Amino acid sequence: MNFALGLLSESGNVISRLQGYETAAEQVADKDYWSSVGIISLTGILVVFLILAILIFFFWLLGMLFKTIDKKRAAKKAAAVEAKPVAPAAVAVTAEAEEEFDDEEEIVAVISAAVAAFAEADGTSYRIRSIEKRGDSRSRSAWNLAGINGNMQKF
Amino acid sequence: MEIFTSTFKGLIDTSGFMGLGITNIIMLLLSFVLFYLAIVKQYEPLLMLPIAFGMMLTNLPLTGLYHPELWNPATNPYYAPEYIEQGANILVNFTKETSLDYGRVLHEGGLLDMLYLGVKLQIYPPLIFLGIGSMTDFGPLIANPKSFLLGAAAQGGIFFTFLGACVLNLTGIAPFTLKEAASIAIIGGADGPTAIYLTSKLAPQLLGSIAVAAYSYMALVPVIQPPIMKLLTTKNERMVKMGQLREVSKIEKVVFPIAVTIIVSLIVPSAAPLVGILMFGNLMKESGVCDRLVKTAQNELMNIITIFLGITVGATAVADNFLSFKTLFIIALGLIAFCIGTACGVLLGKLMYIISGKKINPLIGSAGVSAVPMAARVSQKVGQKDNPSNFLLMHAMGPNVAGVIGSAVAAGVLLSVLG
Repeated sequence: MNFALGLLSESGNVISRLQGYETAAEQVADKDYWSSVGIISLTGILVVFLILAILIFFFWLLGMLFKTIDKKRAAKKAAAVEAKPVAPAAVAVTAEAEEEFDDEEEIVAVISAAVAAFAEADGTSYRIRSIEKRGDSRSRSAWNLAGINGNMQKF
Repeated sequence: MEIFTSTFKGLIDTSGFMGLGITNIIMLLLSFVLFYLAIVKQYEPLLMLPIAFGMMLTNLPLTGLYHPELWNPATNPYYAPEYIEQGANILVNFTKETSLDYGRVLHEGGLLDMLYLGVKLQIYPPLIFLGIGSMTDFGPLIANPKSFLLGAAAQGGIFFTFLGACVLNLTGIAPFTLKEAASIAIIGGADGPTAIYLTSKLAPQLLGSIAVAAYSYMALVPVIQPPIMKLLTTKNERMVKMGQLREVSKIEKVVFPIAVTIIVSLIVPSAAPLVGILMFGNLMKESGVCDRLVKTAQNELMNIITIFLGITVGATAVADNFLSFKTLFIIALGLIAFCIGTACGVLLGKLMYIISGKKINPLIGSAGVSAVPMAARVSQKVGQKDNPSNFLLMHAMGPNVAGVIGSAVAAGVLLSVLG
């Protein structure tokens, strides 16, 4: 199933005739030269697109398949968790809230330590008034950026 | 005393100085330029240095390391009319098409002739691809298969340049045959092994100049691409942040090389030596069960082949082939191929930016020319200039590795049509 050759089957004879000439000048002089050059370029880029489009379709399909498998697995897990006897919902909520609070305190401590270390000067003290998350939800944190930059150095 | 002078005279007669012509000297000077590019400018030094040294060796007269005449069927004495009259041609029994006499190469060849067998028989480029495959992570491409389109678009440079080379024939200064035009065009694939693979099959006489042009421009990707990328995009487009790529499971990564090999080989069988071996290397890596083989393919094997490939490709740059207007045209056309490839990628990226509702940054399109990972890094750098918190690297790696597959497929198409 040589598709590329199939597309060119009509002009195939012309191209082999052109190839038969010894020099480029003779090739150019042939009346079918420019049409063959056009056909080669056009089919060339089309075949490249076609093959990669087939690959896109294949891997898109595969991706969908894996997404559904993952969802099913996640659903199964969720079902299993639900089936277990759990503590009353109200308790869970407070526990979660507490955890969040703990988390925040920790973050505040880390940030203030970082600020102090960075802007170290004798005899000054700092008070942190507010800590805000940067608006753009897609952007990475400074630590993340620094990490990625570090990893990219080697390239 | 007489013995002394005659010995001395004999020594002078067999020394290289007697055979040193003006063309040799020019070629030696050119090899010094390549040394400068490799050592001082560090343009792809791993290949440029061996190429430069091969070029120097082959142009030193009487060294006998490389014999261009052995590789040119027209100079085979067995085809001389008097031999044919004597029936020698029947004994040799070659047709003119496949008239390369390997027996003669083995009998009379020098060191570089022997090593050049690996180029001529298309052994080295696929083995380099084995190493590349075992180092490449196709994850970003699997996570975002649309990247394949950008990898295909950037191959537009190849086919435009093919047209361009044919149009140049009208000037009549340095006419290129269809095979030569295709070999020059493949420089636009920005993929050294693919360029060498195709050229050694279609136009071996241009191998030296095409390899030098291809590797020089690959080294110059960070200089050539950014102006084109900036010209074709607006600041807003360059600032687009792309959503995080999804995680790719191991099964997908294992299925990928197998599926790509089967699909590509069925449609364009002549691309199989490159794509198949590339994917073989990748499967060894992703399967995780061939660690020892992967290490060899990535390091020792790849390094050995790189040395052989570089020095022999350089050796083909003998004055007769290299010192012509064709080389100048090749250098110019190669640059055009690179620029158009980049532009095609960015333009399709722009189209995808519009269709996707401003979710795709067109800058990743330029990474569709292969040159892994340099082209992806260029996308990253250009993107970060306008938006310092933007990280396009992984998004650009998708089109980048798709470009490797794309240029191998393009080479396969050109081979099946013109080979």
